[in-house]
Amino acid sequence: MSAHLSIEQVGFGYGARQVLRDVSVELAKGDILGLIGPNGAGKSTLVRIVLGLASPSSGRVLLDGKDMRGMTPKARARRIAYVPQSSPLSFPATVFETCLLGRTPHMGASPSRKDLAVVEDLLGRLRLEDFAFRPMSELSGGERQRVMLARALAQETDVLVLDEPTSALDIGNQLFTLRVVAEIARERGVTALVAIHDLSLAARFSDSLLLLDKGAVVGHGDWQETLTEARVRDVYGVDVEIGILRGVPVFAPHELT
Amino acid sequence: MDIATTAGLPNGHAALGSARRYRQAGRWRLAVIVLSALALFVLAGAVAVVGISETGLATLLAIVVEKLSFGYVKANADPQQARVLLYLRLPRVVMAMVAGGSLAFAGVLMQAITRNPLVSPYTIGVSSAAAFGASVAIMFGVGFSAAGLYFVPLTAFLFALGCAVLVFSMAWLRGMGAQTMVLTGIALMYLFSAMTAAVQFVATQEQLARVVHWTFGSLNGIGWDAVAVAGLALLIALPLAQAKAWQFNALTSAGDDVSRSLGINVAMLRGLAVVLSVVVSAVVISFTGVIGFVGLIGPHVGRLIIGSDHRYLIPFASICGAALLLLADTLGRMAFSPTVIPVGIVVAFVGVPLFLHLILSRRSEYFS
Repeated sequence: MSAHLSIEQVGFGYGARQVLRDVSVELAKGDILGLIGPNGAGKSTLVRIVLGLASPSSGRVLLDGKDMRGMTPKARARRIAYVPQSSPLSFPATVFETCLLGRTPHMGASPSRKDLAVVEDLLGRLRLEDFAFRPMSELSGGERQRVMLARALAQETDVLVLDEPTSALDIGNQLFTLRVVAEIARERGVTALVAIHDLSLAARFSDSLLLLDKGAVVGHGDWQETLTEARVRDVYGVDVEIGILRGVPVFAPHELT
Repeated sequence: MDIATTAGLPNGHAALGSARRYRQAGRWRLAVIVLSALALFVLAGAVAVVGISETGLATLLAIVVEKLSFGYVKANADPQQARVLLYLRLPRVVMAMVAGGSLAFAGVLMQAITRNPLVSPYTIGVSSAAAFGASVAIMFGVGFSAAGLYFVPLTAFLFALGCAVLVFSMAWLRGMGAQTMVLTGIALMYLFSAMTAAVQFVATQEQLARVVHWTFGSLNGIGWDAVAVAGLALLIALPLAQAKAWQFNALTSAGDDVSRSLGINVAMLRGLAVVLSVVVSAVVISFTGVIGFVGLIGPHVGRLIIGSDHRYLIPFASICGAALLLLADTLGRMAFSPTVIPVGIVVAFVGVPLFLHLILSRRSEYFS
């Protein structure tokens, strides 16, 4: 079985300042990979490389076995969509207008009826229909995050890359956002790469985890094998107790080591 | 407040599907653009005949028709009157519209690529560079007048272009980031303003008067040659920018990274916008002198009325800028007639109250 998305020996940085070193991982179609690690571990850089926003200094990223550097920007935009951590609010744009931008790689100078219909459906699915014509600036952080997710889903790609999608959200919105991602991954066979800080959420919603530390892979696999109490102590410098409450993995930080 | 009410559609359409409502708002915005363009032309005609005795719109139309039909249709107008209209009044009126439209157009593009509502041809240094170029030409131009009448505008244009190249290449070195462009532009604006002031120190009384007059910005003595050059620049730039309108939407409301992940070549888009906005505004400023305010508020007035979608904003802000400058110049001509107050001064008197009114009365979320 060949991988859908594979990151092959990716390195980034120059000389002594290596941000990423020899990172390799393969994702099967419909898989959710949780990308975890302390601040500065290289998660964001890896996200940018997969999106084509940064070029690796070594290694490559393959989609269906093809090197992504060979793709035109538009072709890539039809395959990979990006949910950023935040969005600029420089000029007033409505929720509908913002989501519609996700149709950009599929349209000419203006959106078609089909583009509008796709957005209308997604707004319903993400419970945003009541906000459709509100300006983004009037929305709460959770609503805004949902709009950015809707924009990425409107791109109708087979890969989704999310950079800290839950770090600014309350627990209700955290659950809702990740549940939508998990549903979409299952329904449409969308492969997702999620950079995320919250270990409980990462363990719960990912099919497998990739733990980065100082630019290198220090753990890879399902959550039980990746996040042992000993490894969390090594990588994060925190004494944790790992438990499972009604099927949900919980990481209780006790003391700094 | 939402886009539907922005374009004048009454509220209470919650039952409509959002796709249908979006299309409806689009049709309203289109109607607003067409109607305001028509209103602008009527206004221009009315303003052209104001202040010329016994001349009405009918006379103006007859004279224009006579000219366009190469005398085939006779206007039977007083030849003196016809000359005043054709060679003094009409070029001035048309230039007011072209200049206002160009500066607002340039402002929309510059604000879009920098995502900064404070940017305009003035704040990015282009106007100050042109003013310095004009001062140098006025001071040291004697003996170099090979280019004749066009020596001052040509020098002003070259300096404006040089300033833009500086801003552009600095930003290029730093990856075409929005912040670099704004900061470099502001720094250069101060530099060129200081150099213009320095030049004024060594100017004679007569030169000083000309330099000061130029820095006020005025439409006195504008002929069809200036209208042709500036009008052509705008007519070429408008459709080129309009073709990228959707990409400007992405750049302003999604940011650089997301725009790139949507398949947009952001560096190329910025480059195109810089070239179009700088050429168009520099051409206008070289003929009229520094007219500062329109490039800043034209885009805001447009956005407050029609929303941020650049497919509508680019043409509509240009119409707003044209109307604003036309009104300002007419007021400047009439207020203390026969003394003409330079349009660069009047536009602030007209624009600031209008602007403040819009900020206070319209969308509270606009300047969040």
